[in-house]
Amino acid sequence: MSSLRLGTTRTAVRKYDVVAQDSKSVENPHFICHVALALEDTTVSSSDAAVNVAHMKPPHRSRGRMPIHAVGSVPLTAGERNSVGLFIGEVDQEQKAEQKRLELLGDLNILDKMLCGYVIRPHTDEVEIKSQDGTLMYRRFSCIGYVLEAYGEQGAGIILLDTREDSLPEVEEELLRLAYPPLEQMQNDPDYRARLASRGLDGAGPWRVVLPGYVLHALGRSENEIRRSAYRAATGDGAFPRRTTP
Amino acid sequence: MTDTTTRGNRQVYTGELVPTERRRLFGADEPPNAIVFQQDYSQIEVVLLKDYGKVQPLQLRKLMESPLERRARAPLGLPDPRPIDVATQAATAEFPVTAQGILRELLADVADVDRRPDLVIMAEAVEFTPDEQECLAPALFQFIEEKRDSNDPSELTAVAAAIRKYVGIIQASEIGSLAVLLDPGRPLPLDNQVEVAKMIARKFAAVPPSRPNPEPMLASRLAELALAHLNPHVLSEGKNAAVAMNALMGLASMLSPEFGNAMARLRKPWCEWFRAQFCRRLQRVLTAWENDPSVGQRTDIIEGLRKLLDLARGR
Repeated sequence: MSSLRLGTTRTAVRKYDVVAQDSKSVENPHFICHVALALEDTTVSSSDAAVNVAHMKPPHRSRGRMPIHAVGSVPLTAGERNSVGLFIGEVDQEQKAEQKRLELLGDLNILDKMLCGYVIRPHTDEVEIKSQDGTLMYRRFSCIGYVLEAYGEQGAGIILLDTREDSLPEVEEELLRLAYPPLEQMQNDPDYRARLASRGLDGAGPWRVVLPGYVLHALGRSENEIRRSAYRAATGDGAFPRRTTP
Repeated sequence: MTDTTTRGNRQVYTGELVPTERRRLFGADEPPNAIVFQQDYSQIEVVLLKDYGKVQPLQLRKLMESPLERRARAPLGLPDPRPIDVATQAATAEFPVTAQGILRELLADVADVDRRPDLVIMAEAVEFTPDEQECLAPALFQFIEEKRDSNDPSELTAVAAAIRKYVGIIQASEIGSLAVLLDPGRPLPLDNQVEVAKMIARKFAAVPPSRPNPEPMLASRLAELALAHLNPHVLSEGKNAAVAMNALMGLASMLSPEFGNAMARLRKPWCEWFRAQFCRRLQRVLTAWENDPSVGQRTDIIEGLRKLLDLARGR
């Protein structure tokens, strides 16, 4: 039931805590560009410490060590921890196949490759085979989608965030590029707009999307609040702590 | 036929194919989905895939075709074949990313360059026409059976992808074919147990059973799997829990009486968290069925699932 930015004091990180990474933006240094699930109980003594994580990160690294700058947690029961583990185990091979496909697409435009299989809006997506019967083949997530689903209905049963589109604040394209660095590199591409549209970002924006930083604000409430109601994100929540000035 | 060899679990016949043999292989009519591979009109190589006792014809090795065969192949819309060295092409060509390209290479019998794991992984994300799916499904199943016990992580991922794609494209009435993969005498690696159980559950969630307990053998195997993992010593490990969860979801959504056998364990205190999540998932399936106009009228199915959900909730 806390979210905190890592500093110089030793901080305990527990398995399945939400760990977060800052963007490299000088103007917006505390903007959270990526979130993941810690896969170990450990103690970190400084910002930029690395922990083992499970996550969705373009181009689809499902496991690895990640430098972290902030942590959010809620005390999970043993059963809730098991449920998060179940979710991770259930989608593990689906993620690995996605990762392998990107490796195989060696000659594909690097920007397409970075976006391939990645979902921005909505934050999660179920890809169904179109041929006949709608059987779910595999699921795709954004990094925040992966975390929310692990904690949510398919996992621990704790709905952290209100992700209904009309509940989300609008996000300008400039800010979105901080969360999705491939977009920054794609700006001069003649098919830029089409590529954005293929990820649910039609038109010129702003769009109501889920940013990674929102989950830290959701976890920054009391345990009772976290379990009782989903957090409704506000403008500025993309950064942690919230950015109150433009 | 003049020559018969065995490659893996394939029987390969090479030689002259006379009309009587053709009829013996394919019946009165050639399968509409057949891709005909032959060196000329009288020389043909035929590969039969054994599909759990039922032999399915699948013709491989395209080198040249007759006008008649071209017509037979036309519905697939495959480009004209050229005499090629398949092995050389497989080793040097760019990786195919189209349904036809994947299918063509997947069906080619290339002994020295096995790119099938990569092809299968790519096939999962590619859309195939119904005709193409008819060819793809047995090839995927053969791949699953060949590589199911592999301890190579990349092959394991390919088998998992093959299982997902195979179940996704077969008819619901063919789901019983998966029972052979759940033979307790030859256990699958844990990762693939997850995929098989998960895809059975997903298939029945998408296509409710035509009648309660449509696949007793499959249900029996699923129940064994569920009970093996519904064990306090292993259930806290994510993939064990995923197998148990999906095996139970499969049993419930096919309205199998085997589901009742697992209920005693589901009510154990150490299983409480699992039961809570199971009920959430089953409620989701029930709601989807109720909201589906094609299913909502089938009160036997809806009521059957509702009773199982009540049972799981302890009502």
